Amino acid sequence: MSTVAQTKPGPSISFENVSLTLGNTEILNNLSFDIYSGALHCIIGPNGGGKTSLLRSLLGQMPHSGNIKIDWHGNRTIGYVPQTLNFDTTLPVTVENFMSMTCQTRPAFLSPSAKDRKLIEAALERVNMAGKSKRIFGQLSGGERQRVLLAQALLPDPALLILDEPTTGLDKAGAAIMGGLLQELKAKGVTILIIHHDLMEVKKIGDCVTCINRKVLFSGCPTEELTAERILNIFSSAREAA
Amino acid sequence: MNKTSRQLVSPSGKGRETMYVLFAAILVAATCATLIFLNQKQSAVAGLESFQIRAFSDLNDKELAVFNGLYTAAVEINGIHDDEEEWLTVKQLEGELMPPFTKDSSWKKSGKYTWDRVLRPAGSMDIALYTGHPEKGKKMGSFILLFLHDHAKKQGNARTEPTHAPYEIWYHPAPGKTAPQVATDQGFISAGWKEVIAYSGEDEVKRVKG
Repeated sequence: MSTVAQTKPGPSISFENVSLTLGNTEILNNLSFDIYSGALHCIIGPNGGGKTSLLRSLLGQMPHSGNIKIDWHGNRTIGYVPQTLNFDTTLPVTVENFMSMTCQTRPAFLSPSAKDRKLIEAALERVNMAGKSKRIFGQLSGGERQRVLLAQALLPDPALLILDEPTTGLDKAGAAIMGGLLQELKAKGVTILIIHHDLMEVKKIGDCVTCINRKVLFSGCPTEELTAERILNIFSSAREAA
Repeated sequence: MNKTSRQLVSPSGKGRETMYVLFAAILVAATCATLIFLNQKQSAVAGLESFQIRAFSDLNDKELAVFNGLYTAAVEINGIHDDEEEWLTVKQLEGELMPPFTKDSSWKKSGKYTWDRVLRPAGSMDIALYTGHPEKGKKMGSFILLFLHDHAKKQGNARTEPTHAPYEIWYHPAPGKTAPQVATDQGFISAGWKEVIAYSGEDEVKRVKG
């Protein structure tokens, strides 16, 4: 089933004194933590705590200060699954067109080459969306759309996979597919960074966890860091737990 | 074997975007300013001759109504003359319900002008004058709708542009002023008549924009 041919480990990432202020609002304040190569690193924290802003800073989409260093080991492909995709649902864009955007250089409305089509079909198959490549993207259900977003992040093979609340809108089957895929990618050495809200899931799948609420509240191994008291403190009143 | 390459993620913008936008704004403003400067023309307002007056500013409301009627009627009278080589009589114009000749409520409101048609053929020139005077006691001026057709120019293959407009509207502030004996521009001017000028849309644009 797998088409991932990852031979080199994913990158390690180092956040050093990263801050972000938009207008007069301080989003991130002096964050420092590391993500290890090939690790499945989870970011947790209350809503509005700056998790998505941190990911976007990592992607170079925010005017952050401080240093974000990525140590690549060969492949420099980043796969990104956004939290939501804002687009006009009436756009006549098929799933195949949408997938084409990530893997072909020519305009997406032109049919993909046989080679690209094969890759697209394989990626869709991995998220159990095979045979739906001709469907209009805007007409997919929320869960199906989320799966397609995941599939596009797999093209081309990523060394770093960034997922912003990937299980939001996914049903049980979709979540299972996602879980399987993450394990598969992790086994290939891909560094995975996930914003997650399901703390039980974080405990189960995560190698590392970092809790953010404008600053790093704690960072480390989920089984050690995610104590019941901390979880209660963070998510009941969003006050500092550290 | 694994070569590690370190990448430092650059913050988005980093001040450059603001600079680019500022630069683009300055460039657009400078380009616009240059183009405006280069394309600037002194808007020469088409001035009036000393013997002309402007319909919209120099006539009162009722006179303007009469002028507007004449201005429209002139086109019709001229067209019919071109087709049938006859100058419509005042009676005919009344019959055609043509303002300002027809005696409708507008005619009553606009000074009850009495019209008179005079034909003065002079050589190749075919001249027709429609003279109008307001009812006695009204503080309104006299109008003349003057047609000057030079039929000599229509003969042979000569293709020359007419040297005179086919029709003109002249005004005199005196209500009972009669038409001058000599129906030339100079004749009208020396008798104290003023040519009324109405700007067409195109003329007005030219007048305003230069």
